[in-house]
Amino acid sequence: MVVRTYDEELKYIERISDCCWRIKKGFQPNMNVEGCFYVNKKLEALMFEELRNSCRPGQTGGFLPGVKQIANVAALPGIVGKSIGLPDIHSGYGFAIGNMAAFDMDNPESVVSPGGVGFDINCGVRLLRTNLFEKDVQDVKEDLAQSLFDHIPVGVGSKGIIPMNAKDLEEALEMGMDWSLREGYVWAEDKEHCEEYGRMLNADASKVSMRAKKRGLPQLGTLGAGNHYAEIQIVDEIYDKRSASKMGINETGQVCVMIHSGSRGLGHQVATDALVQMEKAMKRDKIEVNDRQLACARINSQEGQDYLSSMAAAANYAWVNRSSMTFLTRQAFAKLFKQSPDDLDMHVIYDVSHNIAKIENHMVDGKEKKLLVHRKGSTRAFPPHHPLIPVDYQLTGQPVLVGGTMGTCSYILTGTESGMKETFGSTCHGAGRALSRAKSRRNIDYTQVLDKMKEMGIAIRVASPKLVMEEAPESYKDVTDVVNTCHEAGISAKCVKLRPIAVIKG
Amino acid sequence: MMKNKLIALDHPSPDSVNHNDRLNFASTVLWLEDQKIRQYKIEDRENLRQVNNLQVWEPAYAKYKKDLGMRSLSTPQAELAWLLGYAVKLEYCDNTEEYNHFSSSNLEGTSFKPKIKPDNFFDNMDFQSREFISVVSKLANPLKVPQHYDHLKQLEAVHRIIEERLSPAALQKDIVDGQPFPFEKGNDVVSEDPDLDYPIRILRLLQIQSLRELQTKINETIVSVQNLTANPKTDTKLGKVGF
Amino acid sequence: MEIENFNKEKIVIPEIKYEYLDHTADVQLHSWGSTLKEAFEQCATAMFGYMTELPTVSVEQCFKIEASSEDLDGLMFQFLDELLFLFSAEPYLVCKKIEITKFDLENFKIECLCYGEPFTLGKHPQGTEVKAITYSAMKIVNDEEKGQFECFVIIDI
Repeated sequence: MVVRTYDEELKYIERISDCCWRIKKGFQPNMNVEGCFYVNKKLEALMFEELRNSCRPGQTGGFLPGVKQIANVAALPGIVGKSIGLPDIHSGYGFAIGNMAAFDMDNPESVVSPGGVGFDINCGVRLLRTNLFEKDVQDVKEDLAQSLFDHIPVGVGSKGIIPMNAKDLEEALEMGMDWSLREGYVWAEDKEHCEEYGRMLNADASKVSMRAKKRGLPQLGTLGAGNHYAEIQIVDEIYDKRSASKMGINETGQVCVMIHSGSRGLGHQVATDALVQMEKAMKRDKIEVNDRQLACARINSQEGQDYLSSMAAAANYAWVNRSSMTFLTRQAFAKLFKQSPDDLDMHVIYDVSHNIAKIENHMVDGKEKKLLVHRKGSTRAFPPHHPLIPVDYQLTGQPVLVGGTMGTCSYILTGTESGMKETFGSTCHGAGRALSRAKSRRNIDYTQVLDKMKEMGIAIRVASPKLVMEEAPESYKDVTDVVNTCHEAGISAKCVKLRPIAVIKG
Repeated sequence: MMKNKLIALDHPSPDSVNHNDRLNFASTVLWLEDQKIRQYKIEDRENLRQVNNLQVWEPAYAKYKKDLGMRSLSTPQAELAWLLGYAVKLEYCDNTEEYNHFSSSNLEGTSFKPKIKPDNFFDNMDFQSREFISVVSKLANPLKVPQHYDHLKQLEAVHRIIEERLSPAALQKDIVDGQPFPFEKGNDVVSEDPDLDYPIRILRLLQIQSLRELQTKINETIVSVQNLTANPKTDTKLGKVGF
Repeated sequence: MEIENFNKEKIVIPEIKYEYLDHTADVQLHSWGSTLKEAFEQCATAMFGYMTELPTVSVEQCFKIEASSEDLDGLMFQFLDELLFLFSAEPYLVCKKIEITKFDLENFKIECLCYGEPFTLGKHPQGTEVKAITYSAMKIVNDEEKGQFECFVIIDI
């Protein structure tokens, strides 16, 4: 690999607008397309500091900086358009988290990469609304947090409370949310407001290893640990009244519930298995990449097809998982308020996937093309009138749910026409890490974090309190900066801001 | 539909007929008169033949319409549709026996379809009679349904308005409060051309409305199936949560 | 595979020869030992140490696992993946002590005894969930001459 000084590196990076930068070819070897990334002034500083640090001599271990990772992805065979970094980008395994890359399905060289999806396949966010207002929950906030905590198993080693046997699991992997519907865990309207209607049709449970299934069986309906959470949130500000009202959000003060979770151990194992298979496929098909972590296989190869079918099954598992937690949340609310979930108007506003690869049609150089779009830490954001978004959002554009981190705000954005053109209908997914976990642990004390939550009036229940500093707001980029950058760049539009009043997490 | 009629009448170039082009329109009218309708004697068609001189042709055409007994129609398209229909009718009357062979009543004998006894008075009604057409037109006016050359389509629109706004069920619905959102404004880009923008938005809204109806039917179906299959369970023993 | 007959009294818990290194989104395990085998054992213990607090774990059960691969990095990957599986599904074992009984560096095969008990909420504090083992920046130092044996592994959390 070429070794260059920081100043030399900067020659390859050029500002093209207030919040968009271009990475020119040559920044990394064999780039097929250019890279680009969206950052505002504050995020820009973080991005360049990461690059500067990596240019210091004697740097070993860890991941490459985000910009380098974007450029390495731009060197993958069959990539079209640009390799795009979103404002919440931070370095990750192979692909940076917050990277979108699309590959031409008609090019036989094109690849699919599990690193471009991430270990937590179909990790995503679901938002439920209620007809309650802040004043209705203020006094029962603590009880509500406890009730949610008692209903939704969280943290490492927790087991789901929805009984499931091996046959159920096979069916759930193939049917996705249709399984939850059939068993009566969710409402018909929930399916309507879900990306892909909560089911990927190309799922094949037989492509999921026994080991993955065994990891998945006990964990269905569990939240997980790390950055996953369930939050009770209050509508804090409405930027786009018309779109918000389409989502059933009419006034500030309204209570919503956000669930952030994924495919648990099952998805992690599917990704691990695929990476091992693809290492072999790369040797056989002589696919050369800049970084060994970018393990990939031709889309048309056996490994590529197997991965897409098993990934789809894991995605279905994630929808069943979020649906199960929706069921538990509704139960928790119903018990506490002694009203049916129906009377509480607890509808799913939307459910997004921010770790997934999907086959979509997009315009490339004026022609319609079938692409395999990888979104890792990136949310689909389709514009108004796109045929793949629910009928209720045809006029507003697809709702994009952006979860903050513990104690910070979350946002609902909507997809835009210019996002469709510039980023193949993709936008940010959350706050994005700024500090390493170890650094967080050194710099921040967990009791301080918990006290601060209390001060802010946020009820909190955590499975591992000693680790909350890893997820403290200080460890993350400011989600408001991230969302504002997306809004300014026009790749999605701000619609609603939510603030938490109760958090449960692993 | 118009094209089908032109083909049925053996028009030499059914694809190139364009009712918006006056010259083309005039030629088509003349062709219909010459070949099919023959309302006038050949020598009396002189003025109608002046298709290149519209100043002469237009009054001739106005007289022609009157002589044919065409009711007043608002567009050349509607007029052409009427003329074609008239021509087809004449063609049919010239040779009823041959064409009757194709009628559905003939086919009925060969199938096992049960014959429906007309006990509904609508079944005996002549939907093409002048009387019927004029009543539809009378219904349409107070409801502000625009005129349409096909009175049956017009009747459909009348039906929809009555059903959605004036039926007992519709009258019971709560009236939606608040300011309607001006639909010409929104997040969506439609067209730069203001003449296109408005109708496109209307068509889109209608499409969304029909999609919504379809989705609601799908949801209702799912719910009725759920009544048979659903049995949600929880095993709270498994969940030892909290610390 | 569960091993029924083992003498609990004879189990000696080794001293800690591992640490957790700084890393943006994930965590890097660093372990060492007087042999490569020991460094491997320590690396595995380090992973369990991230999931819960090991002092709360007692040795109640013993399971035997096997791992094999085509190279040394692959062997480490498979070894840890087996152990992660032992924790993530039946028997949900948290290991306090790892004892490699066969360490074949010619055919890259490991056989190993894992001592610990099933993870129990209430008894074992919940640490971080390990999603997967990665090859990212994996480094295995196997220097007989200098007597240096170290492992660096990033686990995805």
